Amino acid sequence: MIWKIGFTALNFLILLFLVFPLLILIIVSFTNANFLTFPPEGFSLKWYIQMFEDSSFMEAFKFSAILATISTTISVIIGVPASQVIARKNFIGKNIVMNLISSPLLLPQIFLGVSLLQFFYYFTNTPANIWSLIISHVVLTLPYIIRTCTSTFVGFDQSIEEAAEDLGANKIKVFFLVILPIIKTGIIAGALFAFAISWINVEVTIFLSSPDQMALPVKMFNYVQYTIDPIIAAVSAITIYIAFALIVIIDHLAGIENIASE
Amino acid sequence: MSKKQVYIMLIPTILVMLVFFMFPLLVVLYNSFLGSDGSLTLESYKTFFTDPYYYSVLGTTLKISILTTIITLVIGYSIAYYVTRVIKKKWWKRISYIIIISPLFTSAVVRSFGWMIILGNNGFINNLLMNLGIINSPISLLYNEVGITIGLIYILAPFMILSLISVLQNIDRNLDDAASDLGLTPFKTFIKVTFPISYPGILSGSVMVFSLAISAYVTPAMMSGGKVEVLAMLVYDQMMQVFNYQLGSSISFIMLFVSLVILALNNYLLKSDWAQEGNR
Repeated sequence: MIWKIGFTALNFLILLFLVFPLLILIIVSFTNANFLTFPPEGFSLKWYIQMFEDSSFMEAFKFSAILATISTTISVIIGVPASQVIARKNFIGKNIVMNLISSPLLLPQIFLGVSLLQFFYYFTNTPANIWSLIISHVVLTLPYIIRTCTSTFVGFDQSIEEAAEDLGANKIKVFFLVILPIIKTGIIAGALFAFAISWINVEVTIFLSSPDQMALPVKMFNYVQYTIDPIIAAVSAITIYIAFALIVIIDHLAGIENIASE
Repeated sequence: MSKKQVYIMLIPTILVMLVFFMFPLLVVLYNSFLGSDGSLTLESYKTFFTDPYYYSVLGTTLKISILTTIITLVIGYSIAYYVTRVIKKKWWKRISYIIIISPLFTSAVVRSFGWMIILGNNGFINNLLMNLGIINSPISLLYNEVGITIGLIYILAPFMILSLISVLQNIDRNLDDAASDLGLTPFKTFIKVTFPISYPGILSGSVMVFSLAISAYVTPAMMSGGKVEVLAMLVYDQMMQVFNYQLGSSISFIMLFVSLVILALNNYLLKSDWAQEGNR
C-alpha cells in the first residue's frame, strides 16, 4: 500500500514536471512588472497588448502560419495517394520506398537543415526564402502524414469501394464519395500533427530564414538570446494556447490515446 | 488499381524524397570531403579530430546525451507504467496523455525558455530555496551542463514515454494473473515478466532520445548561454558564422555517424536473444 501511494505520488511529480514550464510561462505572461520574475507582480494584460502592437511578432505569427499551412497542404496532397498505395499494394522496391520515407524521422534535424541549405545554395546565392522553406517543411511533414494515413488505410474495408465500383462509380467518384469521408478524420488528425511539426520547427528553419521573413520560433529564438522580457513570455503563452487547442481538436477527432500509441 | 496508377500515386512522394532529401544528403557528404582548394581530401575530418577543443566538445555532447538518456529512461518508465497499468479512471488517463503529449506541440524555444525562468539566478527554484533559507546565494543551474541536461531531459522525455507506452500497453494482462497464480509477488512479476517484455520499448526509446540529444541545437544554445558548446552548436557556427561549409558538413556527418552506429546497434540488439527473451 505504501509502495502504491509512493509510486502514485512520484508520478504526480513527473506529470507536474512535464507541465510546469508551460504553466510558469502562462503565469508570468500576466505580470504587471517590466521584467520577468517568479512569482509575477500583479496582474495585467499589458504584455499581450504590447505583443499585438509589435508588428514584427505579428509578421512572424503570420509567416509561420502561412508556411505551416502551405507545406502541410502539399504534404497531404502528395502523401495521401502514396499512403493508399503503400497500405494496400505490393510493388517492386516497396521496402526501399518505405525506408526512404521514414528516414527523415531518424535523421538529426540539424543535419537536414545543413543539407538543405547547401543544396539550395547550389542553385541560388540567396537560399533563405519562402520557397526553400516550403520545400524543406514538406520534407519535414511528409513522413508524418504518410505514417498516420497509412495506418488509416490499413484499417479500411476495401469491399465498400468495390461495391461502389460495381454500382458504376468511376475511380474519382469512388475516392471523393466513398474513401474520403471514411479516412477524413485520420487525415485531419495527421495534418494537424504535421502542422505542429512545421509550426514549431527551428533546427531546419533557422538555416533558411532571412531577417525580413522570420518564422515565429526562429524569431523567438533570436529574441531570447539578447532580451528576456515579459513580451516573450506572452508570445510563448500564445503558442502554448495554440498547442492545447490543436491537441484538444486531435483528441476529439482521433482520440489522444491512439495518436500516443502510434 | 493498375500498375500505372500505382506509380502515378507514388511518384510525387518519391521525387520529393529523392530530390530534396537524398540528394542534399549526398551534397553534404561530398562537401565534407572537399578541401579548401576544391580537391577531395580528409582535411576537415583531420581538423576535427586533431583539435583538442573539438574533441572536448564531442566529449561534452556524449556525456550530456548519455546522462539525458538514462534519466529520461527512469522517469519515462515510471510514468509509462503508471499511465498504462495503474490509472483506472478514464478522464485522468486522458489528462495524463494530454500532459505527456502537449510539450511536443510547443517549440523547443518555448519549453527551454520556461526552464530558464525556473532555473535562473532569479528564477523560481533559487527564489524558493532562498526564501526557505536552505541556501544563501543562488546556485547556478543555468548556463552550464546541468541546465542543458535538465532542458534536454524535459524536451526529450515525451519521446521516451511514448515509445514505452506503446510497448507496455500491448502486454497481455493475463500474464500478471498467471504469474501471481504461480505465487510471484507483484514486484517479482514486474522484474521477471513485465520488465523483460518491455526491452524493445526501452531500446527504441533510448536510441531515439540519444540521437535526438546528440543533435539537439535549440535547447543547448539557450541553456548554455554560450558558456558550454555541443556538436550542433559547432555545426551552426561553422555554417552560419564562419561560413566554413566543409567543416560544418564533416561535423554534421560525425554527428550522423554516431546516431547511425547507435541505430545499427539497436537493430542488432532487437533481433538478438536479449530482446527476444520476453517473447520466449
